Amino acid sequence: MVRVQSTFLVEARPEAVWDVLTDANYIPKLYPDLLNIKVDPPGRAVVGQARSLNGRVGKRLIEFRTRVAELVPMKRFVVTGRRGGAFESFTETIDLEGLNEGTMVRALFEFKVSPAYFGPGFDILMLNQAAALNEEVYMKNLKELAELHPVSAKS
Amino acid sequence: MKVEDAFEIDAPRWTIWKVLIDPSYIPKLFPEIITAEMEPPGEITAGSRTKVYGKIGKIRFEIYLEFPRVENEVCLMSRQLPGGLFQLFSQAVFLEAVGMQTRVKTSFEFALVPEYAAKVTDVALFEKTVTNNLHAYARNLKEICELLPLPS
Repeated sequence: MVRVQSTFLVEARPEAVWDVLTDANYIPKLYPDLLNIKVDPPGRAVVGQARSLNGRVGKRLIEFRTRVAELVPMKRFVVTGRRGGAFESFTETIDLEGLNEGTMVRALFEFKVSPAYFGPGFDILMLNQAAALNEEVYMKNLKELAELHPVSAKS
Repeated sequence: MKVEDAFEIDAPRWTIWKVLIDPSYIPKLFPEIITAEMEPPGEITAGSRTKVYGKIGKIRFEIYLEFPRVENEVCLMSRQLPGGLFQLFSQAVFLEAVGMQTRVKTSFEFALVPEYAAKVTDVALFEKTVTNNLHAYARNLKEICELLPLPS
């Protein structure tokens, strides 16, 4: 099992962070190697929402399956893996804490790449490292996207 | 401004078409696009509309588009709706089978809303960023469509 965790400050209100976390449209932008996503039921995250994602490893197209496991508005967001796909197990836990200067985010990813899914031609250690790198970039991107300032021609 | 590219993708037309009409690929195709919300939800069809969020630096902007022409495995066209970053935007992607490969032509035309762009940054710099994004679209479309499934 690989663990990737980080605590960082987002200079935006918890609502802005929550908005990014619960809108699946952001997923391909949060993870560098994820390409697209389908969610069931459609729309914002609800507990039980099933997510099917395509991603890439090098020149190969791979598949992930997850489910939204827990939602505590503006506080906690948890996604877990479903059977099939590139992970044997996967849990993403994001905790938010509102502060005067923004939102403290505690992110924990725990996962195990599935050797059975990839077969014998792949180095599992390298795949774990690639996945860990994606989780690290996810946190950087979450901060960047939540801190964006909207602009409008009318304002 | 007009941005055009022509290139070949080592994949059949249907593979490229699946990517073109799946709106969840849009943020992967355009580097500065963050999300695309479809109305109605689901795959792009003729008459679909989308609200697209993008970013330049620390600024988030919006673009509203509709798809007037969606011709299966042949042509995808979008054009700008009132509101948002552009006073003019049109996109056309044409596919032509060449054996097992596909010849792709992309054409974008855009003009920024001056009041909007001026709030974001220098207009010339902004136009260059948009142009770079539109060229990157061609590269990314090719890269994504040429991905191979895992060996069985």
